[in-house]
Amino acid sequence: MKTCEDYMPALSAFADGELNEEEKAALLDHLEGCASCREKLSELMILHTMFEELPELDAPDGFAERVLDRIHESAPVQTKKPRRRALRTLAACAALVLIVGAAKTMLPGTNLLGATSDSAAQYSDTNGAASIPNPENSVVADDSGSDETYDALWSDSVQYDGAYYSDGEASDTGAENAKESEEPLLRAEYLNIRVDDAAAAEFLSTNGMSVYAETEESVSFLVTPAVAHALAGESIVTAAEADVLSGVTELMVVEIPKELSTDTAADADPGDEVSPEEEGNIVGDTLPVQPGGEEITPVEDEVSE
Amino acid sequence: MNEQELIARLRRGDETALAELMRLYEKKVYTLCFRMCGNAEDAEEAAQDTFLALWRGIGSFRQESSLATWIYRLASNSCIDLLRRGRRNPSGPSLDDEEQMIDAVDTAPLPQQELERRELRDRLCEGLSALPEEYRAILLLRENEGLSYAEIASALTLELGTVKSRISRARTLLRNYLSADGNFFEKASSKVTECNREEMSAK
Repeated sequence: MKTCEDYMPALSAFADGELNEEEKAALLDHLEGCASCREKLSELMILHTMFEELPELDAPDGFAERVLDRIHESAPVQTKKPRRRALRTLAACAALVLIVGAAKTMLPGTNLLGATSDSAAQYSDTNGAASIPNPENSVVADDSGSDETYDALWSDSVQYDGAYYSDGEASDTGAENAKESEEPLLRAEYLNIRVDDAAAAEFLSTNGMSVYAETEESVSFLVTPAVAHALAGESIVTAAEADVLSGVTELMVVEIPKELSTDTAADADPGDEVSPEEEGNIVGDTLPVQPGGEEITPVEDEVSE
Repeated sequence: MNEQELIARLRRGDETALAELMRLYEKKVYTLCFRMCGNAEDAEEAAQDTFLALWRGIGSFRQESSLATWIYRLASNSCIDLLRRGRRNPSGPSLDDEEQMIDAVDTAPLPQQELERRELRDRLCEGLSALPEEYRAILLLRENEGLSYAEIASALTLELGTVKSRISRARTLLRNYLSADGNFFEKASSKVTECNREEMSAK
């Protein structure tokens, strides 16, 4: 047996003029014989008039100016030239691959981390004192063609040393190939936002975003606008974060605190990361990618989306 | 100002377009935020967040809804975010804030009728504050902004049926809140009443 509560949705929709003809006829039919529902309907009308009594409020003085001020504060979101920056980034990534590849060729079997050879010392000088990546883990590239190289560069199996990018003073001494990047890549050039949710790391990994930098506290991903927009739609980010993510028009950096991160590539022991097959591909290989060349046009497509 | 033109200018990063848009919508957005957040400080923050989100997100605005509906969506999200972030209780200072605004305009002694209206308004604001955020947002969009169910569904990304049932539920909760002290609605009608048309029509 129906109670008046069961009629409440229909009564409420009726009060809003949201019933179709058929539903309206059925409800009116019922109202004719049900005093209790008629009472409920009148209460809904009273409630409505109470809302009408609520005045519209003026925004505080200077409201619009304060909004514009905040927009100017966060101006980096509106920066230009995404393509060129993307190209430079990829060029730098490729240069890093070449440096490490060359070093491996010169010193097969030598671990650069040991810094016992000239090459290793050069590498260290070039990239500053911050953590030097273990190349066996840091760079995994296939030599079977430029497409594969591109994929490898942008897959999460490739990790770039954060120091390389965050150290804006990186000189060209001892690393000819690094000159391809033309100018130092400052991390500050990218919009950098922090997302305090480990699920974001997973989301970015599964969407093919690369680890861009890594510190003891956090892991950062280089994120394309398309994936940033997709992340904005996920419930794992707050609306404020979503606002930023949905508005980006160029590559950005998303930083995720490490304790929260479940991204295995970021957390695991570096030595365990590379499979024997992948490792085999690194040693002694010259990579076919030409930094800044035609092969990397897919990035442009992605960025200009 | 044509809406399409305004959107196009916003997309080009034209700040004067944003200024125009704020002139058109700031009162509505601020009022909605005030009713949602319950105090002037949070209301301004949420309203600012709304326009900031609009500015940053205009590129991804697909125009599947009207600009106004989208703005309500952003405003509603900004408020819910702010409330959740701080786990702020929207009740309490809200009424004081509003009283201050009203008092600033009119300090003359109030006639009885005005006092009653004010009490009514205060109780409604209290009742709104007591509602869960989602119910508060949906009811404000319907009652204060006059959005249709379809527009609300679009603004809040809900099914039409969910909009219908949530509005109904929100009204029931609010009505029960207001009837608690017996001043506005009779307590009796909150009890379950059988509806039996045959029985009633047989009279």
